[in-house]
Amino acid sequence: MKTCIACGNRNNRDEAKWCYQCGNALPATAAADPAMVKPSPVKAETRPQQAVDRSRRFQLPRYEDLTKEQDLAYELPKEGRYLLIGGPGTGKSVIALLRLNTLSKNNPDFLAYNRLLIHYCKALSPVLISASTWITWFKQTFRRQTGKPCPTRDQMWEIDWAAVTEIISQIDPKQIAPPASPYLVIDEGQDMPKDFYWTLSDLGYEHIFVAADFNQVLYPKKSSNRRGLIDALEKKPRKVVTVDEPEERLFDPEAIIELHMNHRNPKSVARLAAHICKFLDNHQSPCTEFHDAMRDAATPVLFGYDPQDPARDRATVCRSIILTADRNPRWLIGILCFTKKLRDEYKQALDDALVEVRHRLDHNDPRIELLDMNQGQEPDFTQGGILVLTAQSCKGLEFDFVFVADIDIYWNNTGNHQLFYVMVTRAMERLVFLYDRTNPCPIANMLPQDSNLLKRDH
Amino acid sequence: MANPAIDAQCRAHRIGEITVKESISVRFSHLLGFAGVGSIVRSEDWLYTLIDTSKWPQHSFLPYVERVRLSLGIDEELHEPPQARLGQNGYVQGATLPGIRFPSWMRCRKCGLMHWQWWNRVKERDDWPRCSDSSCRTRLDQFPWVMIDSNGRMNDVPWHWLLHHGGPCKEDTGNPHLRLIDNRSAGAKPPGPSKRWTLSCKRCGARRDLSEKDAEIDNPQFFRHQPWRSDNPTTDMDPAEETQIVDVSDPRLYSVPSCSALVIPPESRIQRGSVLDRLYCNRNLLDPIRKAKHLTNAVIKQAAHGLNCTSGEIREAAEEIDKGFPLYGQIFTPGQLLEDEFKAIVTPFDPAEGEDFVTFHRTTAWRQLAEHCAEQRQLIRLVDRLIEVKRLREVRVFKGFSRLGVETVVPPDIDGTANWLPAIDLFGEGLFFSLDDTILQVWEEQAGFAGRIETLQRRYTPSGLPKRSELWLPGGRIRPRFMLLHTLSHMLIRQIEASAGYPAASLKERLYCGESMAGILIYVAVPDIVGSLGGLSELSQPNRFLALLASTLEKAEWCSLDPVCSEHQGQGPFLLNFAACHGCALIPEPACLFGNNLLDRTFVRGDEGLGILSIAEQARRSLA
Repeated sequence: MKTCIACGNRNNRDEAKWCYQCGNALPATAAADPAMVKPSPVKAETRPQQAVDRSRRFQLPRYEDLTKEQDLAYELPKEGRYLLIGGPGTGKSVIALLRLNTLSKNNPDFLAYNRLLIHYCKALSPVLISASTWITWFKQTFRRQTGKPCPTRDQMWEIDWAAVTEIISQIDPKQIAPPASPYLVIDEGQDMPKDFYWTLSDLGYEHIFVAADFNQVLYPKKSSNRRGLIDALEKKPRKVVTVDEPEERLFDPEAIIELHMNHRNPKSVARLAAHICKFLDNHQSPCTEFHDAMRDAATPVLFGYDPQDPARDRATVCRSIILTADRNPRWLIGILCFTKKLRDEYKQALDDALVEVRHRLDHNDPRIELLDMNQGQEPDFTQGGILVLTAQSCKGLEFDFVFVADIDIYWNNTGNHQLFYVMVTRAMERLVFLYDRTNPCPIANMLPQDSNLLKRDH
Repeated sequence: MANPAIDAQCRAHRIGEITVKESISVRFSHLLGFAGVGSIVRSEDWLYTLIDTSKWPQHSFLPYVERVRLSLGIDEELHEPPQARLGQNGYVQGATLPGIRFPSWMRCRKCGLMHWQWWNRVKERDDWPRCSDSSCRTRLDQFPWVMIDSNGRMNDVPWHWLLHHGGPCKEDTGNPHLRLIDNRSAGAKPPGPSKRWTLSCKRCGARRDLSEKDAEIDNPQFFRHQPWRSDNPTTDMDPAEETQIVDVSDPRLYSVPSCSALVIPPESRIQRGSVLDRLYCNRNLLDPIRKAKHLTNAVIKQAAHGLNCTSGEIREAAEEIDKGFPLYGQIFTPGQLLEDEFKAIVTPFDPAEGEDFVTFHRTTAWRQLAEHCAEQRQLIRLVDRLIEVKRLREVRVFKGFSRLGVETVVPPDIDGTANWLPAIDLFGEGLFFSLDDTILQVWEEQAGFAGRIETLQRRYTPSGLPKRSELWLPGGRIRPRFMLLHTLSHMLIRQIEASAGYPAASLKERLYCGESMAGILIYVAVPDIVGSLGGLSELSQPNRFLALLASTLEKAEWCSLDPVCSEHQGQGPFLLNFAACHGCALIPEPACLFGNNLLDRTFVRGDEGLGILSIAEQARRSLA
């Protein structure tokens, strides 16, 4: 890490000679990055810190804990193709991981969209699983089975599906090497393109289990919709299809299972999520349901901080986040930021706040970690602490306390509604939205006015 | 323009900091005719030339023309040119074809100073290029002379070289120094020699009198292939036989051999909108299926997703296409085109809705008419089939163009490497009838024809026509029945113009002349809109057609220029017409297949002096 003297920008590559932002020369040797290194503890006027047990419960539910609808999904036969559809917190990933456990003798592959989720699932799974991101897995598998490199577009990571289709159609099916195991379990299956599923059949993958939620699509143009996914998983082409027949009949209707009940969020958060889900207006996936018997927790809060007011500015917020982490040492607190720049700002602000409030802490310093998907970090989910990450990478994870940072920079559009739906449903206990109250906040119109659903603290 | 679909040609040029595009509307049928690639197109103020097809922005595959392609001997695919529309705000929406301003030379109206591409010097949007001479400042005009050769090339006139022939005075297009004075204009000095123009150089004082015909351009370095091409293929081309400077309105500048065919069953009967049809027409989806050695899941699913249908339907459609849809292995040879069309027209069938070729046979009603009109029985005997063509689809193909009236055809992409040719669909209606073969055979035997046919044949063979008309006159052999059909069809078109409501220029003839085949299809076919008004097919009602035919034959008897016209021993290009002039048998050029050549009223009305019976008289005798 080298920090540019001229503009202060941090350049990730140590061998870089010129700042990629301002173009000025960089110092010859890499300086220690202030953001990545915890500030040295202030020695004076601190009371002795007491170590505390921060371990939190982080394991799969046992088979006995599954609900009826989850049971139904869990007890599906090993062979065949299945589509599990359910909103956030309904236990899709849990079922997928339990299924991996059941299939462990058949050496199934587990695929998900990003590395963080892969790491999360690996940590959660009781057995050792072979898991990778779908894109890496596909490139390797394609090369192994066809003997040819996977064709990519100009950006090296993006697969050229037209070329893939052409290569496979030119090879004699007998010459395609059989897969190591025909079993696949895919989480967040809506984010993979249709072409990926089409090709899976040609490569000999017979038994595919896909967990998906069409309300949580990352890149709408590159992902699959419900119809496309069902159509792609359909095994034998059927000849007679009338127009009146629902599209699901193409596929064995028994093979589509929907989960409705939310088990992750408390009732207060679930109600807010249901409110946002109405805005998505997406009939492909059901919105999660909540019932009165659910545990309740504090109502989510919309908090407007004021950079001009020293009693209400971002530093104050960060100080109270650290104090919260100190009072609840087993909590994992997630701070979700829209951009990488904002994420780095929050990390810096938290580090500064820690120095200021260290004398008020009851326990030793809480962990403050910045998650960067590109750095290949593997954070520890079994310990409480504060994780700062971007909104896009929070999918599939869960936190006890979620702060959604600076919502004034989101536009009020469908893509952001989906992102909010994902972020809100990460919270297992509490949820706070932060915004800069000196700026207009377009997306606040989407949030409910009812103070029972959301407390507004301007 | 009443035509909703227009095509626009644009030329972007920069004025100061802005790029200005001008668009010209050209009808589709003109784009494949006289306003095609390499032709000179006029806008309100400028002359342009249309750039070749390799630079066309997009073009879409034209389906169901396999028979047309095979019969016309075309190996390339046929593609439709892009269409643009004029939006309400005056902006052109959609892809347009590229063109450039040409000729590049501009001449001052007043002082005759020549400027090279002076429109690039204009600074203001609405300004006009003006003379660079500070005392003159008169408006400049594009000077409408171009240099063409028999290899089909076209270029600017090398004015500087014409005057200096490579002397020490070097060309400098940035500083205009050549003057072209019109000796006949008012105020000019009385011409010394008989030449109209005087070219002089301001710098070295060289002078030369010249006219259009003084093109002694033997220096090949001036020839790029076409104005928009930067390469000079002179080295690998045969030297041109003839090079000329012509005015842009000279008909020798540009000509396009006509190349069209009707779409007939089975291709006209294909049900549009089915999965098979949609897959066949969508090359992006069909190509992976065709290329695939094994129909993999991904290939099928891709197509099914694209067409929003099931994989089963795609598999079925792919099998059908594999079996040879839409022609299923029928073999067509180039010579067969007209025979097939003739057969399709005279064979009755039950058309379904949405077909592209619909006929209605009126022959029975025609024969019954004989009972009521005893005095016209010979005409009813003469015409053995009368058919209303309610709907037809014609495909017109642009194979290339030629210059100076020679046979060398330059392909639409100049190099001939493209795998497609521009083609368009035309829809319309028509009127078909055929003449009784037994009557014709007896009529053809008459000795009086021999001299006339022999003269025509002698003039026809060296003209440029035989290669273009090979389809209609196989072997370049002219037969009396051809002359009869062609002249009769022209006389009919002139007559129909008065009664059907179509101007003669929009009507077209199609002759079916061969052994035991003698038919005339007169039709109207337009691009852009589906179908036409029905006025022409209405004329095939027996009583109306009888009146039409009778009046046509009557008109053929006399021309207002007789006896000059009927006694003429040869008129028109290559003297290929006898008794046919603007007063009787000539029609607008686009309507005729042979450029208003090979016409003679004598073959219709007979001539007692030559011992030729008229065809009507022959029919009357056969009744007896």
